[in-house]
This record gives sequence, C-alpha cells and structure tokens, in this order.
Amino acid sequence: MREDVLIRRIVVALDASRHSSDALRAAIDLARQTNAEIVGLFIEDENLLRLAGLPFAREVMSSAVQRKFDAASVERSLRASAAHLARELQRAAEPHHLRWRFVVARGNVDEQLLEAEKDADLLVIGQAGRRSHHVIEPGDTAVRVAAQATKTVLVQHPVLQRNQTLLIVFDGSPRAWRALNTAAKLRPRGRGELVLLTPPQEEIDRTQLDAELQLWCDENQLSARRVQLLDLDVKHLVSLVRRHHACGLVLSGERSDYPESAVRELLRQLSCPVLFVR
Amino acid sequence: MDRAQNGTSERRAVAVSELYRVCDPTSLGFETTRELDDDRSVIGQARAIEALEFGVGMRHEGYNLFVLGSSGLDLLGVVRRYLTERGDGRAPRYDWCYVHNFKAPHQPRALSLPPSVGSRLKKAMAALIEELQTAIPAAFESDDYRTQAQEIEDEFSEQQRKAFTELQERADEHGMGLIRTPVGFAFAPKKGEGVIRPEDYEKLDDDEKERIEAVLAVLQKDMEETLRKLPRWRKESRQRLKRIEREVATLTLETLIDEVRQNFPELPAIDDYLTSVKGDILDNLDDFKPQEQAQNPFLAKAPDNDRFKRYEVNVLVDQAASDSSHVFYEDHPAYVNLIGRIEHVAHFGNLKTDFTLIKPGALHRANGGFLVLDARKVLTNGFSWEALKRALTAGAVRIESLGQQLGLVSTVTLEPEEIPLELKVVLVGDRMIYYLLHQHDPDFARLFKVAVDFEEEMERSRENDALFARLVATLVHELELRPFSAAAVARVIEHAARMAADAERLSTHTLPIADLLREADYWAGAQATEQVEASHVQRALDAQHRRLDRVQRRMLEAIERETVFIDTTGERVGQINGLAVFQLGELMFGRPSRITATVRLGKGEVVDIEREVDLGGALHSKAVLIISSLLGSRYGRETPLSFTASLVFEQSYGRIDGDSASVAELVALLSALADLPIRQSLAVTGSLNQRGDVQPIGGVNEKIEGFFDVCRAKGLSGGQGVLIPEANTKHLMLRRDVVEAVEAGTFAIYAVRSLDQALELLTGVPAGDLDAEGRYPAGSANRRVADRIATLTRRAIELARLAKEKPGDGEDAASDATEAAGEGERR
Repeated sequence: MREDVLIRRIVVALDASRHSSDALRAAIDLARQTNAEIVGLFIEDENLLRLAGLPFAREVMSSAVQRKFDAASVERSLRASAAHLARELQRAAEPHHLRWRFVVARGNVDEQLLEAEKDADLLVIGQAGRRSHHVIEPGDTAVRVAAQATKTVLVQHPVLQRNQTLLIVFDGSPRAWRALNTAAKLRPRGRGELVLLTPPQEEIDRTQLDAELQLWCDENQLSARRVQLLDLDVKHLVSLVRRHHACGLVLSGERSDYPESAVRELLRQLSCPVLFVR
Repeated sequence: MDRAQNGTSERRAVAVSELYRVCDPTSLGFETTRELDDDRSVIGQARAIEALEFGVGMRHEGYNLFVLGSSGLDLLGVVRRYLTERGDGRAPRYDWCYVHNFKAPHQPRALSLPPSVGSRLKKAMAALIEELQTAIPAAFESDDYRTQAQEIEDEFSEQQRKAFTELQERADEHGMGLIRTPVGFAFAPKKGEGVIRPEDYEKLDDDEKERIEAVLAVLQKDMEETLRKLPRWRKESRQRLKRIEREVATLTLETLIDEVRQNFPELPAIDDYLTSVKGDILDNLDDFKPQEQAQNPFLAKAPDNDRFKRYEVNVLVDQAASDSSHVFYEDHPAYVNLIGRIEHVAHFGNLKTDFTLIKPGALHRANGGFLVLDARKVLTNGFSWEALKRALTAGAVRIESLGQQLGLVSTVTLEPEEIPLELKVVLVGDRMIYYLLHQHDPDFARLFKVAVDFEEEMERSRENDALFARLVATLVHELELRPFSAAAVARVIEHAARMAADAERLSTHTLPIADLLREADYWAGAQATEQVEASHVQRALDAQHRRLDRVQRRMLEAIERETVFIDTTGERVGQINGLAVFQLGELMFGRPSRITATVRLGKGEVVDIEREVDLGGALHSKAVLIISSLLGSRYGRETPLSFTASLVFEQSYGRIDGDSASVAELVALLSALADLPIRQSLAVTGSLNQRGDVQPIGGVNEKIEGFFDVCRAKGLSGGQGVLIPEANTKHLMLRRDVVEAVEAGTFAIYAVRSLDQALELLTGVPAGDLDAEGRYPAGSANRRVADRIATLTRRAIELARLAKEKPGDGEDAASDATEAAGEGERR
C-alpha cells in the first residue's frame, strides 16, 4: 500500500507567541525532511483592529492591570511583529537552503488559516492558549482549524518529549495507509519505533494487515508494531499516548470524524504534537 | 713532675700496643655473621630509649617528642622501627569522612567512624543514590501518583476554564465578545461573529453606547479579579502536587534509607546524617526526575551530573585502606601535605570546589598514632611549623588554604569542620635545631616536652663489642650481603672506634657503618669470594679515602716539592712543626704547619700575626693570650718582660682557629728567646693552660698520620715523631702503616703532660725546675730563657736611662723599653 505522499508546500502560522516559535521550528524540520517550500503566514486579526477603533477600548493585561487599547499602537505593534517574524523565518530557513515566503493577511484568523491551508500540503500551527503551570489550554483557533481543515494539519505542542515512539491510529484503510506514509515521509529514518493502534473493528483481517505492514516496514526500513485498541474514544487514546510516552500522535479521517469538542479534549489532554492527516 | 724533678728530659714514647686497640676476632665467639640471629635492638642508647619510652607512654598534652642527634645515627630509622615494633597507637583509630552539611553547605561536616565503616558508608550512599534515580521516577510513574497528579492538574485547569467560561458567558449575555490581545484580554461589543466595526458603533444611540460602556467596565473589572486569582490557584495547585510527590517519594525513600541504616547499627552519627539526607532528597525531588533536554543543542546546558554530588561521602582517612601502621612519616611536610587541602576544578573557566575535593594531610592520616617528621624539613617549608604548632595547641586540625589563613582571599570557600587530633608528633633533627628552637620559640618547650637525645658513641667493652657484632650481622642480613667473617667484623668494630676518635669508644653512627658493609661486600664480590674478609673491609676504607683525598694529596705534594716549607730533619731556632686538621666533606685529615716566632726588645707582648690580619679565630686568640700569661707568670714574676714576640703560621692563607697549637707556639717562642734550636724531625700538638699543663686536643689520629705522611714522603730517618698530649693517648686508633713504622722504630709518638716535657723533647735540653731561691738550674732551657729575658730587661733599662740623659736622641727607639722598665722600677 505504498503511496507517494507529496509535500511541496508547508504553511506555518506565525504570531508573536512562544507557541508560534515552536511551530516554526517544527515546520523547518519538516521542510528539511521533505524539501518543501515554507510559507510563513502572519494574520492581522481584524477583531483586534476593530476593537482598537472603538473609543472605549481597553485591555486587561495578564498582570491584571488595565490599559487603553488604541488603533495606532495596534497597527504599530502588528507591523513590528510582522517584520520580526519575517526575520525569524529567514534566519531559520536560509541556513538550510529552504525556499521560503512570508505572507501577511488581514481578517478573521480562523478563516484566513482555513483559506491558506487550501494551497498547502501541510499546515503547521502552534497549540496557542493560556499556559498554566501544568496545563496548556488549546487555543480556539488551533481546535477549530484542526477540526475543520481539509488538508493535513500538525498541531505542535510546546513540551518536547524525549521518547521517539510515534503512535498512529491505523485501521488498514487507504486513509490510514496515507497517514502511515505521511508519517514515514515526515519522520527522519532511524528515529524510534512506530506503534500502530488498530481499532476494534471486526472486518479487519489482521493477519493480512500484519503481512502488509511487514512488507511496508521492509520497504521503508522502519520498525513498527501493532497494538490493539480497545476503544477509539479520546480518553483511551490519551492513556495510550501517556503509557508509551509517545513523541506524537497521528490521526487520519474526514472532518466529521473529529468534532471540535473531541479535538479540544484531545489537544487539552495530550502533551505531544498531533498530526491530522487528510 | 717527677721526671722534671729528676732533671732529665725524659722521653715519653707511647707503646706500640697503645697506638691501636685491636679487636680480637676470636673474642667475638663466631666464625661468620651467618651464625648470628638478627637483633634490631638499639645498642648504646639506653638513655634515649628510656626517653622514648616515657614520651610514648605519657598521655598528657604537650608531651610530643624531639629526637636529637647527628644525621649518621639513622634517627628516623631507629625511631620509626621503635614505634612500629611497640605495637598499638596511642589512641583508638577512626575513619574520618567529610559529608555535605545540608544546613550550611560551605561548612562540610566531619564524621568519625570505626575503621572500614567510612568506605562502606561511601559505597552504601552511592548505591542508595543510584537506586533512588530509578526508584523515585518509578514511584512517579505509578498509577496512584499519576492519577492524583492528573486530578490536581484537571482541577486547576477546570478552575481556570470555569472562570473564563463564566466571563465569556456573561459577556455573551450582554452581546459582548472576549478577545485575546497580544498581552492580555479585552471585551468588545459583537456584531455577527466579529467585533462591531467602529463606524457601526458610532451609529448606535447614546443610551446603547452608555449601556455597552457600563457593561464593559464591569466585565473588565471581573476579568481583573479573575486574573488576580490565577497565581494563587497556580500556587495552591503546585503545593498540592509537591505534597503528593513527597508522600509518594517518602515511602520509597524510607524503605531504601532504612536498609542503609540497618547496615550501620548503633552509629548515631550515620543515623543523624541519613535523616538529613532524607529531608534534603524530599526537598529536591525534581533532581530525581528525568531531566528534559533542550531543543537547541547549542544552547543546551552541560549535563548536570553534579546534582547528586552532595550525597557522596568523602572518606578522608580510611583505616582499612591504610597499611594499618600507626606510625606515619611525611617526607615532604609542606603546609598542604601536613594540614590537608581543598582542591578546585575548572568549570567553564571558573574554579569551583565542594566537600568531595577536601584532601587529607599527614595530621589526618597519623591521627590516633604517631607522626614522624624531619624537623629541618618542617622548618624550611613555609608556614608548616606554625601550622603544626597551631594544630597541636588546638588539639584539632582545621583545613584552611594559605590564602584564607593570611586573609588574602575573601571569596566564599569551604570551611570544613575541624577534626580533633589525638596523636604524638615526633620531630627528628640536629641538636642545633633543638637548642635554637628551645631558645627562640616560646611555644616549643610547651609542645615538645620530651627530648630524646641519642648518644654519638658508646663505651667499648667486650660486651659492647659483642653487641656491635650482632648489629653488624643484622645489617648484613637486612642488606642481603655476603656473610662477614669474624675478622671482618672485628675490623668494622675497630673502624667504629676510629669513627668515635677514641680507642675506648665505639661510634653509634649506623648509616656510615651500613655503607662500609655494602662497600666491603662489593669488594668481596669483585674478588668473587663467598665471604667478606677483613681485607675487604680495609679495601673499602682505603677506597673511600682515595675517592676523597684529592686535596690532601695536593697538599702533600706541595710539601714534597718544597712549595710549602716543612723541615723533617735538622734543627732550627724559633721554628717548629705544628699540626692542623682539615675537614673537607666527609674526609678529615691532618697536615703539619710551620710556626715561627721572633723576639725583639719591647714592652712584653706577644703579637699574634694571624689575629692582626683578622685570620685568627677567637679560640686561637685566647690561646695566644694564655701563652702570654704563662710567659709572664713563669719568667716575669719579679721583673717586667721587656720584649715583644711575634708568632705566625707560615704559608697559611686562610683562617685558623683552635688552641691545639699552643704548645708549639710557646716552644717556638721560648726557642727564639733562649736561642735554643728545635728538632724539626718532630711535630707537636696540644693546648696549654696558664699553669703549663698540656691539655688534650681533637683529631689526634689525623694529625699524627698527616705528619707521618710528610715524613715518609721526605724519607723516614728514624728520629721522627709526634708529640701529643698524654690525655690523648686513649684516643689513638692509628693507621696500620703508622703503627708498623713505630714498631719498626722509624717513627715515634710521644705523650707529654707539661710544657717542660715538650720543651725537653723538642730541644734536647733539660727544662729545669725552679729551686728554692726561685732560679732555674744553670744550663737548663728555662734558665736560658730567664737569662735572655733578664738581658733584654737590662738593655731596656739602659736605653731608658740613655734616653733621659740625651733627650731627643734615640727617644723613639727606646720609648717602649722606657715604659716597660719604668713600670718595673715602680713595682
């Protein structure tokens, strides 16, 4: 079931946050792996601009102090951010001789991202959100884009896992093979093992699946093993990821397979990147 | 005096038997040293051994020992052997360890533990920490812990979510949206999915605008309060997690620490230490969790392998690892070798240290036993002496760098807890060092109360000869040499007497004796004999001498070639052969020196030319003054001495000192006065007192041999010989060739007790004793002297009278005589 997965353009969502830096780093690694063009996308949030235009606009900073929020300072701040991010992208891409572009868009962030991913083979976004001591809350944008995107999306997590085991939900379907091939494409050779989580579906011919997998492993010079999933719910997936100390989780499926609530819960509970292959 | 009274210039030739006291090999009672057992007991040092016994036994403070004696005595060897053989140390010996002080990290704690416990504790702690590195993370991997931690995380997360959701809902109720800004949050009225456009807002009526602003003000206030609560929630959550972590880790930790504790029962110090270790681990559980790696390898921190270092045990003194000897000798007593040191390691360009880098000094290693030190080395190593005294006074050793001690370093460094000292220090050194310290260092007498003064020689008796033979045999065995025959041992004993410069004494210097044995063995080996014979000992002695005698030979050659003038035949007035002794390195040898005297009219003084040119030492000057006094008391009791005599060591270009030339000088002077020729075939040595008695001198053997060598070189005529003080007869241990020459009648040794005896021998004229009228017999040497002095006095008086009659004529020439005569007249 070998399929050549082509990744020619990677769009990475950039803003001034730390999550965005994590996303950029991950995108650069993937671009080096696939030799794809990297497009840095900075979106000027129109809601912020509108708010800034209102006469009473104030913001409450994280330090619980209020201050005035005006249009001029927002514009200034956005311009500075864009310039800074462009430089960051250039600094990250050029040492590796990667093709790169920096694009600035203005509008609704979710819409702009969903629009941009249409032209991309892979969208990389940071798992933005409030960060507490232990818990990283997924941002609404990350959840919405991951749930609604039509192309493959990687939600990067700021906590780096030491382990190299990668978990892939794999039911033997063409979509699942595509996810497996995408994972193999994005992952450097010789990095830990792949653990394939097979859902408890009766129609799956496990013997044949194992034979095919063995063939695939030999072709790709990868090591993989199959683990039976008892249930496909988020809680069970999360516990497996934790048990394996996995460095990432790969999911495949249509948009309808992952409603926003499930994606939110998944991202909230996992401490590793999640790749939604479509 | 009997001989003098008899009026004869009696010779007192020393009998051949007195020239060399032979050791009879048959008296030793063995054929070869193979027959003798080892006996390492110290011979001839009863007093020193008593002092050692006392010093070692005294348990009070300050009773440290100072062992005095010269270097050839092998003091270090003797003392170390004695202390080692004596058995136990003076106090129970402990392992000493330094461990981390969890309350004051810069002051490492010292633990005193029974022998071998230190290294066991070190291993046990290393194993404990290794075990904890897997056991504690394993405890945190347990389902119990994970569930509890997850619950806390979920709770905190829920708390936040709830607060923000409530705010969001309330905003929604009023048609407002919650928006994230780059640095915080903001509320804004919504229109559709997004924020209302400013132009749309402007179109709203004033009441609506007022309502919106009022609602926003409340929402912003609420947001402020929510954000204020976040840090507290976070803190509470963190504290709860810490508590759970402690609870989870405590169980694992206690089990493992109790296992260690059980290995060291009834040791409160370890018990206490383990309790503090447990507390510290619980406070630093994060150290035991797997360390996250940084993403960028160039910014990565160096692996923090040091984080468990504070649980290590630095075994400073390990009794199990030492050679179990309680006698420790420090060959290089530099400050750090004595007191210990704190080492540093370079870390990213900085120097850092910790308690594991504390290194012990000799005081630590010897604690509980004896520390033997060479006094000279201690004194010549800067700061060592003061540090040693400080440690002995305090009864404890504190490791301080010199920088700290001198106040030169003010950076934070370690201040290890001091370690109590329970040891005896044994200093070994020269007598001069002992006396200087005693005189100039007020602490010395308080800290080193026991002087162990070793004898340089011992009495030579049949018993002691046997003991000495036993010592030789022991050395032969120890040095793994060929067996020595009894004759060879006897020759060694005779040499020991020669080393002591006394036929009735034996030198106790074992180091040169051991060298002699080695060298004799070498010569025996060169001749491929199985046994060392007396000839090999003699060969070794001759070779030793030959290796060193270059200067002696040059001096002899100079006399032989008549560059240096020494007569060994004939007679001369005012000229005599004195004898000097030279010490060059290990070689001591004698050489004749021509002394001349001249006499002229003067005011009764003896001019010592050596002193005038500052080449004479104080002792020589004293001797010349004694001669002056003796002259005055003998010949000037009634009339003043109206002459001036000059004495000089001819062809002497260096400093001379000592009084052993007194007899020679005075005889030369009397010869000059009496115009009596002196036999040049004789040389003389001996010092004089004011009564004219001849007193003993040093180096008598070398002096005799020195003159003999010259006579032999110039030709032995049969009448040559040396006059020595009678008191020196017992010191004679002369070379075989000298003894043989005396035996053959070609050389002679004369022992004299008085100046008169010497005068008679040297001039061949009876000296003469004073009669009842205070006059010497006619024709005697003393009479000739007295007559010449009287003649000079008369001449002086006459010159004085002439000077008075013809003022200005001959005034200068006669002034001294006038003064001398005037004084005589007044008296």
